[in-house]
Amino acid sequence: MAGSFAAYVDDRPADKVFRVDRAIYLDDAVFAAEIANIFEATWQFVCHESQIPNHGDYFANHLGRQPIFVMRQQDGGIGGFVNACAHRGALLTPMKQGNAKTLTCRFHGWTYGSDGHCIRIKNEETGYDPARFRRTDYDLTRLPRVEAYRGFVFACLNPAAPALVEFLGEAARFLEFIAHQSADGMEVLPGSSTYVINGNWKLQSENAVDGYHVSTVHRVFGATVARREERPGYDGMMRTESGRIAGKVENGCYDLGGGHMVIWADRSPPDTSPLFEQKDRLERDYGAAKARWMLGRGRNLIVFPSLMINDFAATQIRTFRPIAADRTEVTIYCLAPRGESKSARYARLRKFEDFFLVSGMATADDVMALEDSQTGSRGRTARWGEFHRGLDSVVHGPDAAARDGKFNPVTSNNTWDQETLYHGFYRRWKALMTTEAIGAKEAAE
Amino acid sequence: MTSAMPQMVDDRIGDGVFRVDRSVYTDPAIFETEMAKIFEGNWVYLCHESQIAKPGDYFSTEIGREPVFVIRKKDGGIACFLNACSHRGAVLTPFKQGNANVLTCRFHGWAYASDGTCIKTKNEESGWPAETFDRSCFNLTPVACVESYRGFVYGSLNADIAPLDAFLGASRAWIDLLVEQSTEGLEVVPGSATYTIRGNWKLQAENSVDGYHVSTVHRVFAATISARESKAEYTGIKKTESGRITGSVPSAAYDLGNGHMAIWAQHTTPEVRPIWERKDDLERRLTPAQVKWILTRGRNLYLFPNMMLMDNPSTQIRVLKPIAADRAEVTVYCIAPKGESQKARIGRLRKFEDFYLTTGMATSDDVAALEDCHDGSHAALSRWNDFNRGMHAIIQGADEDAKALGFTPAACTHNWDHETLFHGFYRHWQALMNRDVPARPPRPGANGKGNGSRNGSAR
Ligand code: FES
Ligand code: FES
Ligand SMILES: [Fe+2]
Ligand SMILES: [Fe+2]
Repeated sequence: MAGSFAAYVDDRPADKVFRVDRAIYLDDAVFAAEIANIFEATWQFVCHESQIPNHGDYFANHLGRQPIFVMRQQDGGIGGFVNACAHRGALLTPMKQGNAKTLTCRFHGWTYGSDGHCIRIKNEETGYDPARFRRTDYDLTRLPRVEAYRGFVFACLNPAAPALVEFLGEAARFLEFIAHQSADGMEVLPGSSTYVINGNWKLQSENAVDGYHVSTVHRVFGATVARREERPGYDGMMRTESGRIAGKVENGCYDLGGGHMVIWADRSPPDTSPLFEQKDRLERDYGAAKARWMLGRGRNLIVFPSLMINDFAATQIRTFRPIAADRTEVTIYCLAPRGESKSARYARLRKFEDFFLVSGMATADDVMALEDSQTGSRGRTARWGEFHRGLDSVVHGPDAAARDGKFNPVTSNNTWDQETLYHGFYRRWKALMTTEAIGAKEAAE
Repeated sequence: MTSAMPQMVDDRIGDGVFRVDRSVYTDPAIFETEMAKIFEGNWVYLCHESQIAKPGDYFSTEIGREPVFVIRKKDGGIACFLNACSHRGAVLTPFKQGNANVLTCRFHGWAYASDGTCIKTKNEESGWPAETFDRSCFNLTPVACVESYRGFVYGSLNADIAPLDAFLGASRAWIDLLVEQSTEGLEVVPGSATYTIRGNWKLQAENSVDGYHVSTVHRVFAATISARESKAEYTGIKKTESGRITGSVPSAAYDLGNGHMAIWAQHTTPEVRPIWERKDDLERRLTPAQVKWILTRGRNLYLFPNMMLMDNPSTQIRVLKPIAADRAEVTVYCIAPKGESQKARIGRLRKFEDFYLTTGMATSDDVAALEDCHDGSHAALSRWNDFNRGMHAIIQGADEDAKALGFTPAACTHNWDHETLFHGFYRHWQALMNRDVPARPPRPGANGKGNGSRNGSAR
């Protein structure tokens, strides 16, 4: 079975061919294998540490189909558990987020400590043979792996997975460009927005780092914002960079290896960024080259498979959960430097709303485009999705900007509308889809 | 059907272990096998005879994935047919219930008598050569077996099964406890409520005889009711027993064999029950044990695989229809003794609404709990559902109570919050899943959506 997915990625560099069978967006068998081999076998983003600062703070999410939660422990560490009662499997917390020193199951009232130990069984004395009964048999199932990198908390169902930093590889540098934006660390702002796309999750991964669509799909956004900014009151940080949206600035894209991808574009001008107020500190602490990456260049990052970190007009964490081959649930958060000025925070939030919220002026257009791709993919007579753009300008290894930023991509390309970064994504996809997964069930034995 | 069925039930009572793989709730392939081997291979409950009292009264439902209807024939007998026109398969009646001496297909107008005979094919003379045409070839397809036990009508698509009496076995004594409440019999009160659970059907089956959840899931119900009953106007028959809900009364749980299960708990104030007005009549007609069980013990009976019979604050038939691994449809009916006083009927109906209706104060909490379990069951890393509670207290065979009433359960414990009754359910389930059922016509994939598991279960 696993081998049969290999033919879906037609990767022939010598022939200058890179194309992907559109069945990967449609096929239930592909989807089931993705759940097993990717989402339940590799590191997945769960939450940001700022969402669970205090003992007992928890955050619930999914690894593939499996409900899980992470919880801040008494010693400050992070515990990860299956979000299912050890008794008869009820979700232990139906909430997305909360604080609890103990979690009590709503079904029969069993209670667990924040360390996952079962500390109460309703009517325990009348239910079990005391000679045999051990309450520790009913502790919550721990996730095999939970690790954080610079505030970003990941978990993994595969006990044999490499360390998180190893998994992140060159993408770690881009998480650092975010994490270092405040000396006090970053914080996820309260509130989130969740929406469902009638399309495959990989279309969302592609879209996140697709510079090529911006001047088409978001031209109305660009025009609207440009007109608005002619009016008084829209100056300084309140401006969005319409020049960037129109593609009139320096930009590029990288295949970072491991399936991770990034696009970047110069800010025009950089003082529109809420981060600009920290320019001096950034240059002093990190040097001009890194400050240029943090401040002067907007960036969209995909950490394989489904974490998007966005630092353009505003800063965003976007995660998406695969529901079915044709259904994806997306959740977005605004991420911001702790301690920024009120005016910077204000500008950041307004621009977040402008572009990223479903009620904004851009995301709805993206969703339409994705759903169009999903529908079009059903035209099986036209089998292949093309990823050829930029094949002639691709640079193996780092370009000058990458060397400046001290990261080492697999390939670089000269504009953000090239498609060579997807080759890395789909090579990683193919590699995972053609290996036997460490099934979560086996791990449970 | 002979597909290999992995062992989902880890039944090692000797080691103190009884657990079930949670994928039995979530795996679409298991669901398809259940449809073929359990629902389409054995007796399933169809309706109550009072719902088809007069000739021509019909009631439509499903056996597994197949639409059927039960109809009262002219001779007073009961027949059951596939609810599909012999011509091109249109559903013959789209209604849940009705009366018709002749059922006419809405597509091309073919007509059928209540005994299933095709009595009219439109433009017959211009359609087929008269010398070779045999209209009886177009009679409705009957369901293989139809039987009624004291008013409860069952059907089976598979002819190769035990008689209904043998299938119901020990649970008959429990059904009798309801039937004997009136010499005129029982009636399903008009009206029903149907709701959909985003969860597996077995979670509903478990829930119906799960005493352990009551004091947790229904504590708000109990608190609300006792607050209400402290008010002056809630007296007598209007009262619900909050003491029972908090679990401080004698109770028991029975594995009745063949997958049937039951629990009871003592009524703290039996005189508030609508049946109390018949005490003298019951004592005259029935054995002391029956009277005790009817008047003083609230009972939930689960009849494998798709029906529940409750006699607690009110009386209920609950019918379970599995739709997909993660979807079940439930329909609830109030069933009541014929000829009870108006006052008793009002008390019964109000208490039915309180607890059992979706607009009531308890069922929505149950549904939330079931849906929590369904969602949690996707956590394959935490693989096993635990049914160990009460294992130290199992009594094999009949206890004194069962002997007095005259039934022989597989096992019981004297606490309704024990889980050992589920062992019987899952043993029966696993046995049926391992058993081959006779071949039936192949079933194509579902709705063309390419759901591999459906195609995989072709029989
Ligand atoms: S399922 Fe959690 S206590 Fe029973
Ligand atoms: S399908 Fe019923 S008459 Fe044609
Ligand atoms: Fe976009
Ligand atoms: Fe309940």
